[in-house]
Amino acid sequence: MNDSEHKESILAVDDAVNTLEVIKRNLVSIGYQVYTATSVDEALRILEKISIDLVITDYKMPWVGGMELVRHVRENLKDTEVIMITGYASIAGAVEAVKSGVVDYLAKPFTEEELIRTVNKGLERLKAHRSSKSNLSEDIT
Amino acid sequence: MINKGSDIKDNQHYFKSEEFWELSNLILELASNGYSRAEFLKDISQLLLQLSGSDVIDLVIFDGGRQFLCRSGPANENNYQFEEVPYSKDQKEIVTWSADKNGAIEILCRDIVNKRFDPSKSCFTKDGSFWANNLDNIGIPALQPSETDKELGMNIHRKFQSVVIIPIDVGQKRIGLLELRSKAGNFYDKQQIYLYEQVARIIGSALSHRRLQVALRERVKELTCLYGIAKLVQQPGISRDYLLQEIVKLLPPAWLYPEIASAQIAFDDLVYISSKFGKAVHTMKADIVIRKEIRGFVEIRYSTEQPQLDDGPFLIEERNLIDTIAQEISIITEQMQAEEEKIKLQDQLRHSDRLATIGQLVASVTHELNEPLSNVLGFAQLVIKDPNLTEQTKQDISKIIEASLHAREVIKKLLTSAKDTPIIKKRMNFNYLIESGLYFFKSRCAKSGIEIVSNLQRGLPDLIADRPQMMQVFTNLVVNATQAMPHGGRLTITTKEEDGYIFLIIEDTGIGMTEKVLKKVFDPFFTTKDTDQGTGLGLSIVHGIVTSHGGEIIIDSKVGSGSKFIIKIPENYANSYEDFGNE
Repeated sequence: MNDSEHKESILAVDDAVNTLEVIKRNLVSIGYQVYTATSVDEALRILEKISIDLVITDYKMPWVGGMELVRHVRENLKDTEVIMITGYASIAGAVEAVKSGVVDYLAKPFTEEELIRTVNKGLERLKAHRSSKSNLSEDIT
Repeated sequence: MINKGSDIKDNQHYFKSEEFWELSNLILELASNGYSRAEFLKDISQLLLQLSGSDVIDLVIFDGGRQFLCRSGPANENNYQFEEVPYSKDQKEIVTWSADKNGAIEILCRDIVNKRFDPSKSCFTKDGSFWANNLDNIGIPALQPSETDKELGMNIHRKFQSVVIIPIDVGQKRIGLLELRSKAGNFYDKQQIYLYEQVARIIGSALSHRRLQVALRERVKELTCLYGIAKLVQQPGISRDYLLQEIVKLLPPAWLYPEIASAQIAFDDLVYISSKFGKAVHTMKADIVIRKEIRGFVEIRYSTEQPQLDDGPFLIEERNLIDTIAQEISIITEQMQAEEEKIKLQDQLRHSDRLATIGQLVASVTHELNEPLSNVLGFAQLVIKDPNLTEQTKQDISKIIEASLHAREVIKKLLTSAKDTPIIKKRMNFNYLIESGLYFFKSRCAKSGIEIVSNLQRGLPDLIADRPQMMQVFTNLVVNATQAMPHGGRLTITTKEEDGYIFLIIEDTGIGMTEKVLKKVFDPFFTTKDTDQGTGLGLSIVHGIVTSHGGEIIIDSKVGSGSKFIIKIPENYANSYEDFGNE
């Protein structure tokens, strides 16, 4: 896979800088454009300026948590998908996250393969969503 | 010393006043000796016989709602009789006794007992005593031997000419009669009648005193018995077994005839007996009832015949005593049971508390661990991509990645055992689940020389439970069982339904567990195995899953013989829920 094939931009949000580095280095190595933020505030500022295809956010962060970011993206950025990562993995937590509009849920510690698989799932859903949107607008016109 | 008076004049016997005082003291002394009623009356009547020179002395006593006749004939062991004479009272409280006892003297006695006499007649004293020295002269037919005399086999054939009948009173209450008879005419005089009336008063007081003495003595014995029981109960750490063993020893001395009494206490399947416990001519029993269930009884036995009293040969007070003792045993054993259950509950609470604390600790520790573990795994996976690494370095980093993944699994299992895991209920054929699980163990067991015996109940009702979790329970238990049999053995798997519960019983013939191990077997990380054989979380997980299904686990284990795990789960556990966890 070369860089030209992946133009999607991904925003990773986690107060743990090491986690951000692992995510970034893994995804950049396979051609994604990766931005990072260590807080929801910082993430929101990036989202205002840059069009992001996929957000990967941690669940528990100081001040504002990942679920708030998820709600913001779902309400305001219809063209962006969200994946949640967390160190407090539970089925119940996953259910809550999915109900809130998250594509998938990734528990720490995750392997490189698990990360890539989840990112692919998120971007596939995004493609499907965009594809259905363009079909709809074609029908209308 | 009481002797027959030396002055005899015209067939009269002079009862001297000093002899009267001596007799009075003797009577009171006899009343305090603790003799039985029969023995006491016998002694009195024979003393009077000796003193008065009469041919017959009758003492008729009303005591405790019964009437007793004590008769002494001429100084000869065979001429003594003691019997109970049935009587009744009519509506006017007039005493009568049986129709066959209707001789002249008997009728006279009845009149005196009922205080029906004509005080104007010279044969009556002002106190209502009757006396006659020549029965013919007062118009009463000379006494022929009555039916009573014949029944008693009294060797009396001649008529009695002189008769004295003196009422025995205690306060206003007439409690009996003293009757003196002589074959000789003119045997008694007024002075003597007066003295005999005083003797009758003394006898009345003595009888009353004796009754109180006996009652007091018996009450002391009963209280001593109850006190003994109370003292036993106060001993700290006393076992029920020891308690009942000691109580049964306290019982026989508390009864009226301790020398022939023995006792037995039966409780559940156990029996405790006192010494000389044996045949029973008379028995008295009281049930031990706990929460409306009869759990045993207390029994007293007499080995020989005894005179009838209130309840056979037993006193009313003894009936009360045995009932009280049975009640005390019920209360004490129920308290002991409650104490045992309380200790067990406290242990369980402490255990649950410990587990809950561990759970909380685990939840926070696992999160703290997940973060650095995530870094180790993440960076190791990044590093290994470097094409410039040597083979050795790649291998080393692979080991780091492998170890991180293993650590991740341990943390997942730990979280499973520590948290209440949400259950996804589904109806399942439990036997099918067991058979599926067993399939994977068959070859492993065969290699280890472990014989698998399956006793799966045909037609076992479906279980509504979380299937993956049930499989985990089964797997963990089987792994545990096989690890307990390193040199082979037998693994028995049983399923059955009973009273709305599905049972899974896994039994091995392995090394077994000590009491100490049993207490900690469900604690997370507790293990008796080598580290490569497990994390010590398996049974902790089993416990967590079973209890979250509303079930329980019972373990029966003996060192050297093996262990049996009994899992009991309700067929329809209604408490499935979706929980958003602690996040």
